[in-house]
Amino acid sequence: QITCATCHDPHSAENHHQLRRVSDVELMDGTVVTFGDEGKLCMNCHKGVRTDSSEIQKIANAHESGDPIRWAKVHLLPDYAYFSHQAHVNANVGCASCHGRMDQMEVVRQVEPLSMGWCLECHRNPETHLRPEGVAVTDMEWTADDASIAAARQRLANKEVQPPEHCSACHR
Amino acid sequence: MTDMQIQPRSSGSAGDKVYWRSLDQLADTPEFQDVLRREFAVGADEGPFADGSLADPVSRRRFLGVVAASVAMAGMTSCRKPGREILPYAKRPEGLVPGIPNFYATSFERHGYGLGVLVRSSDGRPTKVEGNPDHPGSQGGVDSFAQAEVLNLFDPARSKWVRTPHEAEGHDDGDHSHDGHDHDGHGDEHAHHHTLADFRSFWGEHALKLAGNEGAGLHVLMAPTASPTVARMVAEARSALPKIQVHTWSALVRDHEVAGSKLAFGEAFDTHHDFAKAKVVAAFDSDFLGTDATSLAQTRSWAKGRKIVDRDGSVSRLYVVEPTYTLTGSNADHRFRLSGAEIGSAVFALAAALGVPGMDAAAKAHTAGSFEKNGKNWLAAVAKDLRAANGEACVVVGPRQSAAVHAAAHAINAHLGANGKTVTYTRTPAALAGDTLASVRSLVDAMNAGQVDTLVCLGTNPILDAPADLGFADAYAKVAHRVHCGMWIDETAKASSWHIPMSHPLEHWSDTVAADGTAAIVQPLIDRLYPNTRSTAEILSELLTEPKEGDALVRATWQTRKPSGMPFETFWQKALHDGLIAGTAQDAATPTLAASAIAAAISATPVAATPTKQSIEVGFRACPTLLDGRYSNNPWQQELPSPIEKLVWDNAVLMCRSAADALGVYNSDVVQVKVGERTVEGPVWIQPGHAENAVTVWFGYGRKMSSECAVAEIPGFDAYPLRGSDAPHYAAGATVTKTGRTHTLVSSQEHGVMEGRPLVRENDLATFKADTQWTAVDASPLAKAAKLQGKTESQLMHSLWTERDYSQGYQWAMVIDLNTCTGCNACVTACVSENNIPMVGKEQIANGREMFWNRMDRYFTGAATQDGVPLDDDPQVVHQMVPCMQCENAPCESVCPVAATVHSPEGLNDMAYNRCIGTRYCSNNCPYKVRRFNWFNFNKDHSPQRQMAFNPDVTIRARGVMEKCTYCVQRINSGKRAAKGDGRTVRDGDIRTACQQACPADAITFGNINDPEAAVTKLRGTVDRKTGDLVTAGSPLHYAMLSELNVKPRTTYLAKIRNPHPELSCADALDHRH
Repeated sequence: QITCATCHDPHSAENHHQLRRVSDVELMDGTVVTFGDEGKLCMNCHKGVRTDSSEIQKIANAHESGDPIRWAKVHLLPDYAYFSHQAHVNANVGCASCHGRMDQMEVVRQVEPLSMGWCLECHRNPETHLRPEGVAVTDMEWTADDASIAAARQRLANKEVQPPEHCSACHR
Repeated sequence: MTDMQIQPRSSGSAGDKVYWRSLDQLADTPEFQDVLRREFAVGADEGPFADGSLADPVSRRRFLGVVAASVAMAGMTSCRKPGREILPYAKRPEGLVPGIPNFYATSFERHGYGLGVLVRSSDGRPTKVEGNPDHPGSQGGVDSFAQAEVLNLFDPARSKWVRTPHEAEGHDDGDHSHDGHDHDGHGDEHAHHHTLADFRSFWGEHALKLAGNEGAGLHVLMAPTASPTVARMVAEARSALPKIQVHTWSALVRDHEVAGSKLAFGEAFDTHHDFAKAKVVAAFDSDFLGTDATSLAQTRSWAKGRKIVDRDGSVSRLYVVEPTYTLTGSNADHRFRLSGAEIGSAVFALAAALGVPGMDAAAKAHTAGSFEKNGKNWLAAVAKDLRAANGEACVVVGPRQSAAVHAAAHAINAHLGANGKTVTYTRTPAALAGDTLASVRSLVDAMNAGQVDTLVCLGTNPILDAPADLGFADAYAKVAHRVHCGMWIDETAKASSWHIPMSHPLEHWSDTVAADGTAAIVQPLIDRLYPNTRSTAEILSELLTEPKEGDALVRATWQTRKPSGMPFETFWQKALHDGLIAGTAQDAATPTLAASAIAAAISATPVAATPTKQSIEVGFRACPTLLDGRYSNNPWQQELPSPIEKLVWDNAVLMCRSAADALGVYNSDVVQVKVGERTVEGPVWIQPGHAENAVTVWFGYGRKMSSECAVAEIPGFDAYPLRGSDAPHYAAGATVTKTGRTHTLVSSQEHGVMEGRPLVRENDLATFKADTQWTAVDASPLAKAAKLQGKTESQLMHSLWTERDYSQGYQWAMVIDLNTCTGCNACVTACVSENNIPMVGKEQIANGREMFWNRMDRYFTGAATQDGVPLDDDPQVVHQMVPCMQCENAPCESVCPVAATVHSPEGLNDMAYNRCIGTRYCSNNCPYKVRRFNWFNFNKDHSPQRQMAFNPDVTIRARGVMEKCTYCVQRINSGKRAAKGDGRTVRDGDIRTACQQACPADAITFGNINDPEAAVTKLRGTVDRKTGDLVTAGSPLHYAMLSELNVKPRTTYLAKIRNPHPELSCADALDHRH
């Protein structure tokens, strides 16, 4: 199954678009899987799948020509807000908490306001978004339950997770 | 604000130490009182076009046009979220993650020597220059010049095209800069531009002709450089064209230094001083902490010798003899002002007093001059002190003194037993050992004799900076083919038949050699911004009609020089990674002194006449911020206040108060300075401590570059026309006359006045060691009151409201050491570069609207009158860097009506720009005046090039908001994140603020005060927050500025310890216990 992490690498700190780095992986059977930039990753599958789609052709063209793909930026944060994916992924906050159910979107859209009030709401009460160990951040189906909330509260009490609420956490 | 405590000039009695910031303050004028009563200076809080008394022709509108030099970016002004695209790298470079900056090691060149740096690359753009701790030229520190290189690289006015005579001479004289919107980097599109291909097609044919004559008639004038690749290319040119003539010239002449060592040793040697090991240093006209060669390394070594944190420590002693106040003089324990001509005599007299063998007879002729100060023979005391140091002493002479003086200094150092201890020698690279004055003179002679068919000015600008008496411009006009290579359309470019644009060191390959011989590779941080630009070595290959890329040229040099047995790629990658080539440092040489030659040279030196009111001495200096003019078009350097005068955007005729009084002039009055038949006119600035009957002028101003170089075009007067080849440093017999006109000079010194409270505290070493009860805290008024009750200051401090609990987590703090801080301004530029601080221009600074987040305050100190010399003629100087104090009980926060400035749990005083509505109440309530207000949209119209120099990790502020020092919170956040990623807490030293990183003196300590092992905690000590009782003692020198206000600043200071000579101490260093 394709998950968010197939293409995105949220561990890379302030990496703005989180796209995976270039790397070629040779599997046991000799197949070379290419993770990486412009179209290379997509073309692993789309060499054969839906080649007639105009959107896929854009990717194929980019792969061919080496020009960057002009992706539309959907989630817009203002320039004066500095945000780190790394911190959130390390705290095990799910992708869906901010990006919504991407698996159910035909066309990707922004479902949360990404406003400061919305950020702070979660920073003040993060229990329902902190996933327990073993649950992938990319799991789209996961929802909080009493056990996960209790575990999250424990992590907060232990200061393993300290969501900041002061200005310079995001503004500088 | 009722209780003014300013000492009027006449009221201080001998022995009272007075601090003042400027002459107006000392004079207690009504104007100054008015400044004190205002929150901002005159005009700062008035309407946008209030010009008050300031009649400067540079309007704000013009300034914005000039500095921005840009077109507004289309489509960036929408107030709705614009649609955006993500364009990832098609082929992402190795090791690059978008958003994460990388550092690359490279090297700059100063005075021909290498200066290793690390450059931050933010998404492929070089955005910040930092020191390379491994490189001997920087040792981790960096100065304002190296940091300002980023702005030189992205200067939209740089030359981009090859030009031919018609364009170079004709098109750039017209002033088309009034609307300020045609300088978009393509504003010269109406001109017909050439590419390198055009030059090549000309040169190919021309070179054939030259080669036919073995290069006869081909001359090259280049700047002195120790670069091995450039040396190799010059050698190649010489072997291909045996009759080619290569000349060297730089306005920052070091000829005397070279000649002095040739005189003393028979060969050219470079002198290296280890100030860290020296107990006593006597500097004669040497600005080794400021503009003289290798100042970065010397600052680090000097600071090591001045570091003191407790009573067990010790500091070196520095004597300075100089005509004009320099950074070095301002750090002296004893300073003797003396005209430049007489300084040689002082060195000879010192040699006599020390009994240097073989030359005492010669030296005695020079002892007639009086070195008396306050009834004490100053020089005799220095001699005694030097001798007593038993070899741990050295004498330093600056490049402005004659060869005989340098030779005498070598003899003195040998006699003192300093060689091998505090003084070492290495061979001067051949390329730097020439006589540049003779070289440029022979070139002019050849041009006048019609022997020069083609002259290539390679990275030089002789029309501006060649000695005026040589008549370079007239001789140049006689040359048939005049090729100029430079980064700007400068004075020489305009007079040339071909101009080739040069690349910046951040965009080309080259190599450098540091003063100790350590080689380093210069690697590009970015591709050429303009495809026609070339480096020095590349242009030499063009001249040989075998154009090669710099990469290939530098590799070829090192193919033969790399250590044998190492594969080239391994060697190359390591050299690039380290920023230096290990093992290339020279071994120290032990040259033999030729005593008789030195004695003969001293005998042949006539005793210099003391300047008089009728025969004034003019001193020529590199500007402390623009050097010889290479930073003239750099707004950061133009706006950086000079270290002593705090002048911005101007140079001046510097003189002492008595000289100005005698002329009947005051600051900003224009005078004419006449040397022989040559004259210049410039405004007067009174520099307390300047030698009498002498004036000093700086180079770098009054430039006549192309109209695109509008930053350089505005300010100052050109001092080069006064400088002759016979007297390149000091011209005697000048006259200075009043013209009756004025040119308003602007100094940043009047702003942020702190009303005579003990802001800078100092003591002398002997008292500090003897009086074990004294601590720097004692000077606080509240501490004095507490002492009467048998308590400490912190025990008396009570807050009106419940104080926050700062006992948990990280709590950031900074300690600034006033002992090692030299006042060099590196921290100021570091902050500007790191935090995207806008430059505001002269007029706005006059209005008190400068934007520097940290400022370097300079106070003059000294006894009110001594020896009949008024205080303001011969004072001492202290420097104090003032960033935000990050008060725990921050007064700014309590008055903000919109909670735009609030405290973070880590003790930072946060500023949220988007909340700020610009009431400026916070600034009103800040006791330190460290908050800055954006009166205008200084960041609105930047050229695309200039935008590339911004740090993407810091918000660019718009009009109408307050801003201030954040302790580089972006660095704190990324340091915390990195530590957390490694599963640990932040260690001491993990996070370095920009000012701390840059500081060549290592005067800034930053860290977490909840970490008992942190350096900052050890300096501060700890106090029980409830009772105010001392828990662990910090340094006795530690104090907080205005601690009596109970604002509990996190930024604190270590008091200055001076080390006066006991026999001179009562003479010019009176009661220092402030």
